[in-house]
Amino acid sequence: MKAESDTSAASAASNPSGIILPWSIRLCLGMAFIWASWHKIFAPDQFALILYGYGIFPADSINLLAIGVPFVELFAGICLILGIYKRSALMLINAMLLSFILVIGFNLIRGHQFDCGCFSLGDTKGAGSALWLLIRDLIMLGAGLFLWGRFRKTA
Amino acid sequence: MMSGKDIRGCVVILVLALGLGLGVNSISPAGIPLFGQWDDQAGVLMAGSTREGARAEEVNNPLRVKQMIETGGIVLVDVRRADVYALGHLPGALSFPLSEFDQVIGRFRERIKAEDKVLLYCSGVACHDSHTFGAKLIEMGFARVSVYAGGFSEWTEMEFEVETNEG
Repeated sequence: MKAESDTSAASAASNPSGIILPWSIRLCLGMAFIWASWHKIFAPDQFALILYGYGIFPADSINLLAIGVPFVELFAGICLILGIYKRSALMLINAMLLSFILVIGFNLIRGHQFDCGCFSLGDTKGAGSALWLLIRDLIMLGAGLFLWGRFRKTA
Repeated sequence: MMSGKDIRGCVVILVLALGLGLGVNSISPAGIPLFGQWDDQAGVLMAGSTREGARAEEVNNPLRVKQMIETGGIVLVDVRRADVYALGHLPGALSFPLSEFDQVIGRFRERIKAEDKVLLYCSGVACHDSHTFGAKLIEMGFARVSVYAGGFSEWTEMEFEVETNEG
């Protein structure tokens, strides 16, 4: 047992990127979701208008989503960084990223312009902007899936 | 893959997040009701507010607005940016952009009395600026403030006369 522990410590010492990279991704993803939630929490009316602009959500769900989603982003980000239910937090973050990708992709395919409202309430509209959002979310989802793989190994 | 603990963790995070969200929303000055006004046929689209604040009455009929303009007796106010106003506005509308409210309100009070009937508009049903401007006017003592919900986009869709600064 001690030998195994020594081997693991030696492995971490000889390969610091094996620890640093997952931790960096975890911190970046968590911070991104905390940051993304902030402006939505303080201006739910504007976030609701942005959700309406996506042209996908049923009218009766828009206000509820505008109230709930920012706090799920906030809690998932905090839990991921602090390591409280970290696998659950990562599952929620990956599920949200997948939802964002589907919503943005669907609107891009049908040519529907929308404000993202992801990290600020003044994001510009346009296909180029939406494509960039899609690429950004795909990169974040890739990072989230990589982290999920690491969590499985260390669970 | 997913364990029972993972699912339980998701439920805990979701319940805590939604509980706190609803709690914060109920006491926040920026709080919104659980259901908003998202029917573009019924007036200006908005999430609404949990605060009982001043709110201008809406006029949701372009023909009625046209009649009001032709009959006279109202002060028509365009609250969009001045450069957008210059490109085209409703006949006889005065430009008082919401974005320059603090700068234009002195001039507004010089020209318009508190008892005048004021009709505000902005770009369309998704635009809140006329309601924001209207709430400020009502708080300042203007009693007869209303908002044309359809705004400039509906007016042009109806192919009614549009004035430009050149014209």
